[in-house]
Amino acid sequence: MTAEVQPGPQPVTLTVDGRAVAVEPGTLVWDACEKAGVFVPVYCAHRKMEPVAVCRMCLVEIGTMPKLQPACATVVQEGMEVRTQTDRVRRFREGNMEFLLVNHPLDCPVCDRGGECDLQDFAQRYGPPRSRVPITGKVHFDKARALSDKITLDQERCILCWRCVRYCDEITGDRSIVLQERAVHTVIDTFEGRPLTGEFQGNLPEVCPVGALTHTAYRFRARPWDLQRTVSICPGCSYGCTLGVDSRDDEVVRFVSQDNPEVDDSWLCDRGRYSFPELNRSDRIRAAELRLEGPLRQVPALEATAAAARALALVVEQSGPGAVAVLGTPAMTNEEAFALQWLARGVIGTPHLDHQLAEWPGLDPVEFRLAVADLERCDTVLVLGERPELATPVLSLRLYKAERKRGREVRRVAADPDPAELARTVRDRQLVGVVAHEGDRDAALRVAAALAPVNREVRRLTLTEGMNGRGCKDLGLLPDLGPGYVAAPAAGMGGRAILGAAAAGRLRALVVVGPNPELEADPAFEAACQRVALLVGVTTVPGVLSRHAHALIPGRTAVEKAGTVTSSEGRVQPVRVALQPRFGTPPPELRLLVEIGRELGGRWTGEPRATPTFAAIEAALPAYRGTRGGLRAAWPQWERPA
Amino acid sequence: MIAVVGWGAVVGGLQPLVAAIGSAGGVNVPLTFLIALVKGVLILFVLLTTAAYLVLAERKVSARIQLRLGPNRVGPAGLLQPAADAVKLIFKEASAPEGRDRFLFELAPALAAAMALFAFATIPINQTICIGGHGGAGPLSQTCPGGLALHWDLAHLNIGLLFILAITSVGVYSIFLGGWASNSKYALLGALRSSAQLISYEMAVSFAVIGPVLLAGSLDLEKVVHAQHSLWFVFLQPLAFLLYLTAGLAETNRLPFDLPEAEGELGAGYHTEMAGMRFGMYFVGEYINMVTVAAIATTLFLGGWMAPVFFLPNWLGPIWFFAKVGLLIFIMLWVRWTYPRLRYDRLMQLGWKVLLPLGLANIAVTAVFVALR
Amino acid sequence: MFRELIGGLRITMRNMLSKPVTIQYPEEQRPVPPRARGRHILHRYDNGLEKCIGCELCAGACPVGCIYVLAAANDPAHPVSPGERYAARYEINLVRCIYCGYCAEACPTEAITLGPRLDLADYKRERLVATKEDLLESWPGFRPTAAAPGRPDPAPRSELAAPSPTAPVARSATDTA
Repeated sequence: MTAEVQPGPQPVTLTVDGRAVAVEPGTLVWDACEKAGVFVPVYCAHRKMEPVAVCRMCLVEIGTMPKLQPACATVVQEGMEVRTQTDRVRRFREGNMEFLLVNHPLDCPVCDRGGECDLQDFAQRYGPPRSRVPITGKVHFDKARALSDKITLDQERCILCWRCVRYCDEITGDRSIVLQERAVHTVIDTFEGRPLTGEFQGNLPEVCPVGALTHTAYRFRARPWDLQRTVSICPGCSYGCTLGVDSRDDEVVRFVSQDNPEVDDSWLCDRGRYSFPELNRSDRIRAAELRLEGPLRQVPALEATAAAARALALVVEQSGPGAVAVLGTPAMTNEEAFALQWLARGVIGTPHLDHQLAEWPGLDPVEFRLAVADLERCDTVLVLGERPELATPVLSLRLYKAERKRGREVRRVAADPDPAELARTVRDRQLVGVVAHEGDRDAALRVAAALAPVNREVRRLTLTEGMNGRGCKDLGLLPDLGPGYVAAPAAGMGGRAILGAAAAGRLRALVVVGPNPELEADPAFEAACQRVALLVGVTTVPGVLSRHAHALIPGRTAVEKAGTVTSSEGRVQPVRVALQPRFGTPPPELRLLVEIGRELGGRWTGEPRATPTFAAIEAALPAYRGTRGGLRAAWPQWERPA
Repeated sequence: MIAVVGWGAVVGGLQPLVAAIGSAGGVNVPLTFLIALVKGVLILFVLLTTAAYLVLAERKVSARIQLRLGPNRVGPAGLLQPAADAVKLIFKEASAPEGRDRFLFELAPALAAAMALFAFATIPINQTICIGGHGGAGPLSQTCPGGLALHWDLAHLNIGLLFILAITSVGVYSIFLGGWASNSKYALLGALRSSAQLISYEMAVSFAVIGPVLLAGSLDLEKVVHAQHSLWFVFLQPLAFLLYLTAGLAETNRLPFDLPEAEGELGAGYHTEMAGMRFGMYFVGEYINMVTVAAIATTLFLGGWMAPVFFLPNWLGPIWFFAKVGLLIFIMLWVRWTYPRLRYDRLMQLGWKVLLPLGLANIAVTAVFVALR
Repeated sequence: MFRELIGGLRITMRNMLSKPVTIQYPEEQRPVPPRARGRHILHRYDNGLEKCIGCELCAGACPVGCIYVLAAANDPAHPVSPGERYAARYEINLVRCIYCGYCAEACPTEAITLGPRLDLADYKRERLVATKEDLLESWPGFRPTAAAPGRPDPAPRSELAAPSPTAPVARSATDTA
């Protein structure tokens, strides 16, 4: 077995259990073994962290070295002979497993990790058939202690692999978990026993190889074999972290991280990870309600779309298309945004279209030229204010990685810094990254303009709000721009202006696709809802919209529908159906919007499903071509100098 | 149900009429009429009840033969099962096929029940008793000058046996018409089989009963019984008895001769399409026919009402009579749950090639015997 | 031919005179073999705590997937079972179950066993999904814990409470009503 020879440094060749393998210099034996297709058990080693070689599980025989060596911490050398299946290794692993299990409690039946636990698996595969330590002789520690409202610690189950300690040290940098005491009394705990804080606690149970650190929210909720895992995109923000949706009995019981080195680097923030209860809301809207044509009645969803379309047609006929405004939400998928854009501009014919309240004229794809992964390549990263990291928390981990592992300069400056001042200190860099929230895009533009002449290249990353704020902008859910940031034939009112006009009685009908937390929280929205003659609402969450809508049409939650979303950096990633539709699940919003449009006489070719709709998007928006599998859209504007 | 009540009334009215005609020499026609009416109602009640309980008896006997217990949940030892069955049949939806002959479809089941009831009219269950008058009724005397002769049959006919044969032949029509009127393949096939079978075995029955008639020298059933005063005809005519029993089973469509019903092949044969009380009337008719066959066999071969052993009192006539009928019915049940159904060609073979020649031979031998006596 | 006919009649008559094999089912029942695998029983410890800890190993071992367990954390003040975890919902679809006994084999606390009760007919399909209340050993003075989350308190069905496996099998007729 030979690996392909990469350009650059001369590859190192070695043999693992007799199989030859060529790897880059500096590779660890553990990685070389994996490349050779040989499994080496580990507890303490972690791909994203530095080796410490404390668990001793990965010890292998190397060449003529007299003692076994840790595969996770030994660097390959030319001609190395690695043996992982010898009797010596086997005997050692058995002894090591026995040691690890000396004080490990017999908790497996009540442990949340049971069924997906490395300790269980390796004890089965490498452990001794029985323990020589009597069960009464075990050392006991604290059980089920809450480290915070999110994490529960069971010190007895800990095998002291230090992964959590290193996570807090290397990944988040908050050093909140430490090792305490000595010898057999060694335990992990928070520093000085303070409650655990931080936005990334949810990753601790995932780095823990056993059941010592567990999610309180997932505590005793399910067994691994109960769960159906669907890989999808986190609905928490527009960073676009890949996650596994684990569901049981038509309920999401947890989100687990999936490694996407380009985006999340296998970490999730707590806000996204623990947002799943919102998807299980028992009061989510399932039935369509009509307050048109008589008293409130519950109807099938497709009957409500027809009634809504009839009412809309009447408004257009009486007051013209300009009396109708359409509001989307940054939570909708690209396909839905495309359909809504078609419905507003193509079918109804109104220019009043937006997906959020604030309005930023002159949007340009250049503002998200900088990829998230490229933050590690920037010589200097300027972060404008706190809003970027509040909007997309996982960004913090990437910045810390750039700083700590890559040695880059990360400067957190004011939200609206003095560009000239910055240009004096940040100069002669190969690549400067400017990270800003979309609300600070003007400041970011000024900073970039000031830095561009004194640095080789300046790239901007603008972080949007909502799961798909970027996609909504790309696809023209904007008052002034159509799909692809080209000027719309007629500029209409933006979100805030629409609400004002509606409340003032200048708009007669409002079509709102939710759930849109920004709208729901705004008092102007309720005023607008009360004033308009016709309010068509598509949403899943009860609130202002569902209370006032004359035609309330239920939609699907983020884990019930398929489609694509675009992250802040312009990466188009697929959202998959995690909870299969069952009796009573409303039709997807895409279909509802298309049905309304067709009822109004619009032409929609193809089926109203995600795949053909994405094909239509690709046709309308060349930048999106072939991006569906998780690639960044290739904007022609990027080729111009910033 | 309405049909049964209606036909019950018709029969109840007809029987006294027949009785009145039968006792032509009677002096007091209204009184005779009244007595006949009482007897008619009594027979109707007794026979219908008997038929219902025969169903229970059949199920019990079959259960015991199969090492089971049989119905035992409704009432003590299951004694109220017939009532439950009757209620169920009455309230069951009487579905009827499209394209049936509406009139005959209603008529046929009623005919089945009615003819079965009718046939019992001339069977004496005790000797004639003379009330008042003088001289009393002798063993062979059937008249009671000056007094009232109380006959223990409904219609005292001197051609009683012939009457029975005639009426049971009419019963064939109920089966055939029922099968034909149903407009159903199964029913029609059942009916055709039934007709062929009944015609074949009618001959055997007729030939079998001629033996005792020759010996007694009369078609009057009471006289036939009196003729067995010294020796029951079963001992003189064992072959005729066997022939009669065999043919009787065939006449009543019972196993091993139940080809008209043949559940395995024809659904339920001629009454496949009959539901509710229509089916119920066929069912009642079948079981009353069993009683009739057993009663005729008792009368012709087992000495009718006479005590089985000479030292037992003869005045318990009806009890002896019913005991013998019961025994014969039990034998019929026993046979049914022992033997499998015959193949159709074997059935015909048995009827025409075995029973008929044997019956003829029996008549010839008996005739010679009587002539030489 | 007559010999055979008479022979047949003799056999049926002999049958008629012998004792029927029928068992008057609800009133009298066959003795159940000691290791028969009938309806499941969830056991308790001598102090009344449930042995089941809601670990779902029975559900994992079940070859037909007829066991549903939803665990919850014990309230230390009023524990349902010893330890941290107990089964808030425990349901067995008795119609789907094949009574193989793997659940009892898998159980780490010997909480579930297959009992002697074999008569499981019911008039309602839903009632053939046995809930924890149905399966749990009865316990004098037992105070049922709060209903499982998301589920109304089930109506008491005391007549279905299973006897202990060593109890005599004869039961009154009302038991099966």
